Amino acid sequence: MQYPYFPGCTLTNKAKGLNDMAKAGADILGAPLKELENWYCCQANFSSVTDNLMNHLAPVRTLIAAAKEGQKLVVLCSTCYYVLKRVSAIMARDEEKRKVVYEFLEEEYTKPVEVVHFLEYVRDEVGFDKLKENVKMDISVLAIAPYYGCQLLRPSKELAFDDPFEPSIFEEFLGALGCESVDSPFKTECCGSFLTTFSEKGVEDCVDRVLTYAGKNGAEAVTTSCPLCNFNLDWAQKEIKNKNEKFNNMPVFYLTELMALALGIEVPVEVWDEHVVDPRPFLAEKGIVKRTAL
Amino acid sequence: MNESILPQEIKQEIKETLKKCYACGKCTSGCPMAAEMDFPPREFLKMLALGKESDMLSSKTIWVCSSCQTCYSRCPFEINIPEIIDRLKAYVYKRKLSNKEKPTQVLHKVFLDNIKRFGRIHEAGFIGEWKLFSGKWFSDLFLGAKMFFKGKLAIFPEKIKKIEEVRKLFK
Repeated sequence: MQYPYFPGCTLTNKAKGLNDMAKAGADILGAPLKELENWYCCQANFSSVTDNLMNHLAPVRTLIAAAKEGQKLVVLCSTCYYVLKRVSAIMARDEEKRKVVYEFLEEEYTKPVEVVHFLEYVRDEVGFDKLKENVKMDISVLAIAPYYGCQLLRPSKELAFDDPFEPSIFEEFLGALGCESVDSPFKTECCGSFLTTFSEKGVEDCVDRVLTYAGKNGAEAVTTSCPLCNFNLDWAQKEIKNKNEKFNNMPVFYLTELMALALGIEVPVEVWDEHVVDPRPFLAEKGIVKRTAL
Repeated sequence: MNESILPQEIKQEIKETLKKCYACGKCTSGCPMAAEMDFPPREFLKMLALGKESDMLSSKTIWVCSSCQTCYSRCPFEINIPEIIDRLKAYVYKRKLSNKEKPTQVLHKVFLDNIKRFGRIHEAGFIGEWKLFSGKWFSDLFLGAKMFFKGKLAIFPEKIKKIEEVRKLFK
């Protein structure tokens, strides 16, 4: 079954690795992602003020466009997932708001679209068993700590992605890929989000906590599905290292990069080049990527 | 500042919500940003309950909150603190009442302008404009250059079809 896929602005700019590897992986799994024809910025920040509909019109337009192409909309970026799913929840439960939207956009929101994350898509449409069968490269030597962040999990009543404090879908996914998943206490904590624009220290504190405790539990790298988390976790490490000699730098993978490695897809150099903490020496040391390929 | 500058209906709603708060502090102890705030969540709620909303409108807290929803998830009475903060933020932003954390306020504006123009975010232009207006001209200059050469910032913006419809949303 094919569903429309919403990449989002960042995935076409900064996080090409996340996007391209997801598409390549989905092709191999026999569940190709078809990009939604006319999509708009999800607006990147869900306004909690739900009675002002003005703040929610942009995502509604995307949802209306998606409804024409399928019953579900697959989203990979955590922020887009969060915004689209919360707005679809408002629309689903409130008929009056649907009417207002209709009057304003002159386009009716009739068919509800289920917003699903890429992980849920792989679990429900492909199945983690089938994912496991397709694994071509043994990556069991990698000890990876999954990092969920905020926007996949909370508020759990609306997102219903997984348990808000003890989630497990990421671990199951990594298990299917064959690598060791390491539990860490700050896997559902905030990475500092947009504070990166004015309070570097706030972000550094958050990132330091996440990575240090993942490291103490035995993780050698972390993985995430959020471009903003990835940016913070990756770029803040240099400053943290400057302030604290003992801090260990850690590569930060997008989940789709690990999937690509396991499925035997050749990851282009440009994707590795996007990283600040270069994962290639780490992967070479583990024998995953040949040294000559660097 | 005068008291009760908030409209009556927002005030009433906040008041009703805050009747449930018994200051257990789960919000503050879970807040990843509490260290950066002048009023951490529990104090913030207490101040509102005491009718000091004008002080809270000029607080750093409303700009520092990253909407991670941890407090809301942890609260035993499900008080939606991010919503209260968003309400105050929208109120302050519209009336230009606060000059705290100016770069964030500029960020919001530039972000929306970008959507208005292209329908999607063009990261290079967006960051450039934000730098220009926020006065942080030279911070991250190195970072920007590095990102540019890593191919993370596209030079030309993508534009969507039917941009007129997006512009209509802003009216």
